[in-house]
Amino acid sequence: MTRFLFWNLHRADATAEPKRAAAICASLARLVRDRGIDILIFAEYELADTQVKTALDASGVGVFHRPASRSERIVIWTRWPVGRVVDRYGGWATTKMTIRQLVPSNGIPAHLVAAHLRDRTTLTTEAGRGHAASEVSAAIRRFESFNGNGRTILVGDLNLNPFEFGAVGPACFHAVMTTELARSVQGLAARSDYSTFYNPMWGLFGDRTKGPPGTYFWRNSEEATNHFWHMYDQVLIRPDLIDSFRGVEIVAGDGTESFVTDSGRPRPDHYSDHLPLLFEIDFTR
Amino acid sequence: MANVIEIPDLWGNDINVEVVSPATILKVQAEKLSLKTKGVLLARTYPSGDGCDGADVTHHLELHAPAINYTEEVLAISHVQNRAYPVVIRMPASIAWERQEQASTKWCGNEEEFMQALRTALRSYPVRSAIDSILAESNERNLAPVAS
Repeated sequence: MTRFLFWNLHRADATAEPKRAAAICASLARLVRDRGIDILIFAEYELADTQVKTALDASGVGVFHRPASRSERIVIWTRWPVGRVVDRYGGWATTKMTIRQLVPSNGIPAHLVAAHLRDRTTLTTEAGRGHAASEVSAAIRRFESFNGNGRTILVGDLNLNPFEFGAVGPACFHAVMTTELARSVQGLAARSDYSTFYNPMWGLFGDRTKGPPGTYFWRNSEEATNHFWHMYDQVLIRPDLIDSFRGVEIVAGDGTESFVTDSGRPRPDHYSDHLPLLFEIDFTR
Repeated sequence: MANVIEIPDLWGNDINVEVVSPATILKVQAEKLSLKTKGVLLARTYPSGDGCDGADVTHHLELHAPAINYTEEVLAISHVQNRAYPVVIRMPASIAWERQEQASTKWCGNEEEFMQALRTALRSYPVRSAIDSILAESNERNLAPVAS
């Protein structure tokens, strides 16, 4: 079983915000130790590598390294041996994403797409965000067609909710809410050109499930359509990997420190304005 | 005898009957880079966006290095569906265009402006950095180890 953590770190900088950076590193060490995390994926990463490595290695579960990559916006750390998280695609101009080939020591290789899409203050309309999503998804489909492999996981801060056009549109991520839909809708004529993703984040909305109601909280009460809780951070799974997918959770704390306030909202001054995602994949399947 | 009123030609003299689309120009540049690097780098273009609901059509320029199985998008161009011009060039970072204008995007009203701006873009730091870095890694992978 491989455990992943994705976290938008809200530009925690060891120099400008030493307390927050140290708190995040300490939490990462506890999460890695207690939850057995193998691969950590970060957006808005401005931590000092030495501080991160010291913290992760001190967890005692392995020796961590940052696999070579040309990606600037997404940073990945892993305790897998060198050569098992390989840089395969760098999207710079229109997408902010990296594609890594994951070569598990025991299992079938897969591709990990990690992305941080444009913020919602830059792309203010659903159509604009949908267009950006369609560019990312086109690059992924193209990459998959060249590499002949549909074993793809997409994770990131998509700056989209799962119900938005950019998430569900066939030419966009085409991410649907059930495994049955993910396996079947591509058989429909109108959708046959676009491979689907299964989006398990649908199951984590609201307070009827374990964990926080979303990954990001926007407190704007003047905006009448604001949902307050948003699910901008998502993991999406291609149908070929649905049987390998073991689950995802929004992480509210590390067992010692809480990433949310007493009222359950993220703590951007102490940790980040986004909550991390933890998910599991069984690559032997 | 009636006066002959001569109506002048109001069209500009810069209409080029041989104008080609930005996508074609970009594709030709991709082919030229593949030849220039003797296939160590395969440059290719691909479109995204179908122009529905007024969305732009985008053509991406990717570099692929077979030796290291790595691909990188270095720039993209966008225009409205069925309107090849004007076209916008999108770069991964701000670069100096003509007249030292710094930006990550460049609006080009016609083919001539596009050619000039694309020349600047292809020779810019982010693109050259990507080409040189990927070439270097490919060459190292292709070289047999030499005993000292």
